[in-house]
Amino acid sequence: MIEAKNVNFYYGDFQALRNINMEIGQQTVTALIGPSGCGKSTFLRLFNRMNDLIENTRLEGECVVNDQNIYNRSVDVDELRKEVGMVFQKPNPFPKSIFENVAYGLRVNGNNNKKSVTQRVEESLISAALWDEVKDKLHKSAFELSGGQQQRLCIARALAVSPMVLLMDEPASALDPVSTSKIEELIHRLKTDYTIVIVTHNMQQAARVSDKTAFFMLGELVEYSDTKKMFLNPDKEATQNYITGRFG
Amino acid sequence: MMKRKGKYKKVMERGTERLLSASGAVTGIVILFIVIFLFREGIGLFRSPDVEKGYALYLNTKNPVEQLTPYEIKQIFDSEITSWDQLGGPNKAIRPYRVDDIFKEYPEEEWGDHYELLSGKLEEVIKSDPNIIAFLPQRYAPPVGADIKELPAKNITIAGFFGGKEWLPTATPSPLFGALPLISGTLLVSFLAILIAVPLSLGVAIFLSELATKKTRQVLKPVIELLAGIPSVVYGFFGLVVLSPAIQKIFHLPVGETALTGGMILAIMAMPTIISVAEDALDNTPRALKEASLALGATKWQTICKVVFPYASSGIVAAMVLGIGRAIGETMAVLMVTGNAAVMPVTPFESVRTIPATIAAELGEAPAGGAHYQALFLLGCILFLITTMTTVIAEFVSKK
Repeated sequence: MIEAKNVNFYYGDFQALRNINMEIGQQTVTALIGPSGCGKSTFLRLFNRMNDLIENTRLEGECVVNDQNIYNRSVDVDELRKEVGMVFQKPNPFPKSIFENVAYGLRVNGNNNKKSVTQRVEESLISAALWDEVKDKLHKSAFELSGGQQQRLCIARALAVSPMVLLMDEPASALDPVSTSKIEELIHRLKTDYTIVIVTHNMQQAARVSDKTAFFMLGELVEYSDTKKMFLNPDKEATQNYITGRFG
Repeated sequence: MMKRKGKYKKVMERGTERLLSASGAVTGIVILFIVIFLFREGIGLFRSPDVEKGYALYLNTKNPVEQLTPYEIKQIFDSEITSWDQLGGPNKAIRPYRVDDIFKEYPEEEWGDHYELLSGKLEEVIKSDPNIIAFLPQRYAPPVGADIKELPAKNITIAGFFGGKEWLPTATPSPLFGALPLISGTLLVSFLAILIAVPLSLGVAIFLSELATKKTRQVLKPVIELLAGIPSVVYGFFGLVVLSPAIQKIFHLPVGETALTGGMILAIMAMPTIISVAEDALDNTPRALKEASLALGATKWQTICKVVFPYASSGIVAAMVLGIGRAIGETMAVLMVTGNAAVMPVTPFESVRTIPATIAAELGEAPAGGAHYQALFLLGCILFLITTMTTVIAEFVSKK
């Protein structure tokens, strides 16, 4: 479903990813863990080509989504990003109403049918477990929501365009424990419909939400296996050291 | 040692604080003083008589006309009105009369070496002709009474100033201070400037902040900001030598110095400011918002239109207002390229005259304290109010 083949990635002269090979299965939750600067966020952002926005970067190798190398010239980046949604580290709602935030993706994709937009917004907010909290104030500013609600709004916004893959870049790192657990529950439920890749700093979170875990260090994929095995009996010593908190 | 150094430092700091607050206070007082001076001189215009000081108009009492507007007086003495029936009198030809005429018509014996007989002679002339209107110095005026009446002196009116379409500040007997052509000239030139500058500047700002590579931006932005520092007289020179002949040729006009030329020069001058401020505003859009939009499958343009623009809108409006402020107050370049004809503009292809250009061109010739001088100050007040208004709007919008 998603695959990285011999991926090397450079910021200018700095090599951020070194020969990564990785396959990610459909409707699974894959956690990317590792110390700061290990390349896990860079790796995540390869799959919706978000790194294109950064000047002076270079990719070698292939990133495959749906049997297609997404860095192929024939690929329409905007179409790709509809298939591969993203949730960012800090909640980043638009300075618009709650409704318009969720409707944004539909509108830019040409859906102006009022009825279908309204319906899709409601479905997305329900999927993101936010509907009950906001249904009476859909036309209020998104900034009136708490940080955790804003992050779920951003998830709803990503779900509205019906992606197949959801990339999450430390989605709970800026949130309090209660909001974090809500996001984690949400990830659990979304797993049945979406392929989720999540970057996290929080080892417990990786253990709680993911099926598989990949450990990155210094731009290399050190270990990639079932989460259970990774946390109970990792193959590599570096993994063991990181998980048990000896560095990182 | 340590203690002494500390004490010295404290005294220095306190001294600096005092100095800074004093300079702030002085600046404030000076600005206030300038504003008060400007308005005091300007408002004085409405206490000035509408005919030249020390002069008055005299009629034969048989003439039923009791008062005339400054514009009518001007028309009478310019022979544009020739019959009293146009002014509510009998159908008789008007005979405008100035004191000079008596010197031409009668030999010196009749009015005397030292003008001692002048008053009596003037009385005789006015008595003898019911259709005369005489503009005379009050010093030699004939006695007003059964046969001669003086037109009552009136002050220049607010309506005459703001509604008058004739700006003839040196006309005699009655100067005309109609500011309407100047105000509309200023507004027309500024409006044209904005019409040209705003779309172009926004285009450049968007290019710089969203489309250009880092390198291009690093080169282009300082260059554009440098343009803001070129003296306006140099722009004016360029306008006079290059732009004005070009416009004359392209539009087949008798002269190239038009409102459009002024607008274009002002646009070129205002663009660096607008570009720079608007680009800063666009650039301030959080990266996270742009990424959020792109990550939802929005194209670059959709992101610019739906996220970047709304986010930067207040900054963009502020940029526009700053540009307008610069355009309205600009003097030199406009003075050089607009042709300076104080007439009501109908199309952009005519010569106009702006308020600042008028002040710059005429203040040197206006006797201090006279009506003309006061009228120029009043124009300054209008300009001050317009630019203050734009600044207030900019403040208000950018805070929102």
